[in-house]
Amino acid sequence: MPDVQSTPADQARYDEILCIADTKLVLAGWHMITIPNGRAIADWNAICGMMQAHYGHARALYAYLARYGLTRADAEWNRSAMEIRSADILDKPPSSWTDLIVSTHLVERAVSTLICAYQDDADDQLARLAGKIRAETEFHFSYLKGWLKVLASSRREELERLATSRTGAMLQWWGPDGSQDTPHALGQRQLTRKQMRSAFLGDARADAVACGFTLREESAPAANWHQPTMRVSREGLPPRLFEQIRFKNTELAMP
Amino acid sequence: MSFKASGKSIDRLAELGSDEPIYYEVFARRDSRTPLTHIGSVEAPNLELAKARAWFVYTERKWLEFCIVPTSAVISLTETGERKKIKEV
Repeated sequence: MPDVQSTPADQARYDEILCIADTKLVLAGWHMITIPNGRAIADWNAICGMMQAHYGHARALYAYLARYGLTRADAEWNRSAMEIRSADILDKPPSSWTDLIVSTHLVERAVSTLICAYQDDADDQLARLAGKIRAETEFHFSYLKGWLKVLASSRREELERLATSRTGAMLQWWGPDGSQDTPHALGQRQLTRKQMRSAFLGDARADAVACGFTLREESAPAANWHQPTMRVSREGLPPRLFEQIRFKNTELAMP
Repeated sequence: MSFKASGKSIDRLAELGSDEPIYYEVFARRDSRTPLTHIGSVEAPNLELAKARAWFVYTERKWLEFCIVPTSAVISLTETGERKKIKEV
């Protein structure tokens, strides 16, 4: 957290919201890179729409964190690969169209579950932001579930294999059972991380059933899970991913 | 059905989700004083994709009412039999 006077509760909230914002930033980067993999212009259009929403949400969440001392320069330009707190699942690039749809769906489900925990927050600004993000991602789920249905009928084996491995990777985001849950312990969030993990898995399974395939949970070892970054990997973003999602020239980006 | 263009073979079922194009008509109303108006159409293999595609394409403005109808649900009363052609492609 930047050098401002803060309480442990402030720190816990700052960490968690930054994890959401960074995950959206990197997911938007995924979309930016994968647009040409769309199957039709309608897909390019939808991917652009989702990308725009995620960049917008990331920007709004960074702006919210300004109250905790996060500057725009730090949020957007100055941080190294080590300091980006996106979900581990996004470190591994999608291997196919099926993988892109499966991974995006799981990340959207997980992020939506976490941000929705702040919908009734005492802080009106964050509560409104959470509600707006939830509403704006509604059509993302419609799009992703539409494609999951298509893939369940045409590439079911590949879909189920990828869904199993990617679900394991997404579950790492929530940390292992019994891990610290500081935002909840300090009254920053009503739902526990365990409850949210369970809700995420329930929603992902329900989506799979509705789309015609089976989601098998593959437990992933997450002993090294680091609460402030919600990551298992301590090495930061892979260099190639960081190079693709970061601003290329700080001088050009500065106003 | 598949066709080949510029060296790329396109498998409609795998790439687009359906053997034949399935259309949905898009209707919207700007405010309570204007009628629900046909504003376009989208192609999609299922309802979820149709809803998303309509949303991403046609929400450049905020609509009071916005809905889609499967083109197959439209019943023509003026053109029937071989003359029936609801959708110009």
